[in-house]
Amino acid sequence: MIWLPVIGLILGFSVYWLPIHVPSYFSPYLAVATLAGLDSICGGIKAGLDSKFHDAIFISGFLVNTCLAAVLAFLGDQIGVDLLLAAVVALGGRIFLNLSLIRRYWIGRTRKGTDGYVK
Amino acid sequence: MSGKSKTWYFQLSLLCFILGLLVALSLKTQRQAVDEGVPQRWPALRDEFVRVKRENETLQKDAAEYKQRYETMAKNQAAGLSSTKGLRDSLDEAKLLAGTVKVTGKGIVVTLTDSPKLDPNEDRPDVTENYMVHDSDISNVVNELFAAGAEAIAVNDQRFIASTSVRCVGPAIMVNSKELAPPYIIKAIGDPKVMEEALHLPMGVADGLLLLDMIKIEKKSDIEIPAYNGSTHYNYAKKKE
Repeated sequence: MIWLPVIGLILGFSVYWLPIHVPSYFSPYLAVATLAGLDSICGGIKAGLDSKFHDAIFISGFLVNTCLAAVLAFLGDQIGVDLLLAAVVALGGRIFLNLSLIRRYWIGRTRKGTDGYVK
Repeated sequence: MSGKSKTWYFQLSLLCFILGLLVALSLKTQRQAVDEGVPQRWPALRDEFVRVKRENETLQKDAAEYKQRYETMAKNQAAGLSSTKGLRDSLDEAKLLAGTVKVTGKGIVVTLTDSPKLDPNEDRPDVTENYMVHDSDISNVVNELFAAGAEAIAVNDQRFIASTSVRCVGPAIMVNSKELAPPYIIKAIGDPKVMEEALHLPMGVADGLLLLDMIKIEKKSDIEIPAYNGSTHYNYAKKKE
């Protein structure tokens, strides 16, 4: 069961070897979308572990975050300020935060045999 | 495992799939962007340049060989007829003047090198420039030597003929459209004493060069100067009767 997300990841990555060409102009947008995806996954795992997982929030979070990041990147391009960095900092911070919570959860489970976090 | 937990996994997997897609695409476009940084024509152009250069060298060798063969054939043929003797003499004379034959004789050898007196810590380009050999130094020396009666001159075995050019292309000096590498050795056949004194004239061409140890002048009793080996074909100039 734990392998399903990994298989999905590998399946998704296999597009790398397909003859698809994206103009390099989109490179920053794809990067920030990748970051948003990573953030959503960390958030989703964390919510799942907390048994607070809500599918609408999960999917909409991903879509909205990606769109907002893309809009920021575009706007930044237009006005000459790297607004992309705002998205990178916010999403990156959240990834680290969620990852640390997930880590605490797993460690708490293996150490004490409980479902709680290590405080 | 509860039903809710299952949908969680499926949705996570779906998003992981999308994430994989995004990672792959962004990796690909990033690689592409890096590749586009260097125009793809450059390596191809460099290979082409090297190829043409090599071809040029072999063709030049061939041309020299054919010229040699033609000379001997013409000589053999002319040897049989006494009436052609006058013609042959004037032809030889013309060739000597044109610089298309190898010549020997006494003369001087002038060596030009970048100055050893340059302070290695000096990095102001307008100062270091004064310590380097320029195309103008070569043309000045050659000009002075011709003025002093030199009959044949070659720089690094590039024979000076009527249409010879001396110019600088980036860091290199080109004579007869051939790149030369330092040191620049100028061989001149003529009266060694006169030519040496001409170079040493006060305020003359060698003055500044001597000061910076950039020039070396030697008198030689036997100098060999090669023939001009480039094209002698004229497209535009026609003889007027």
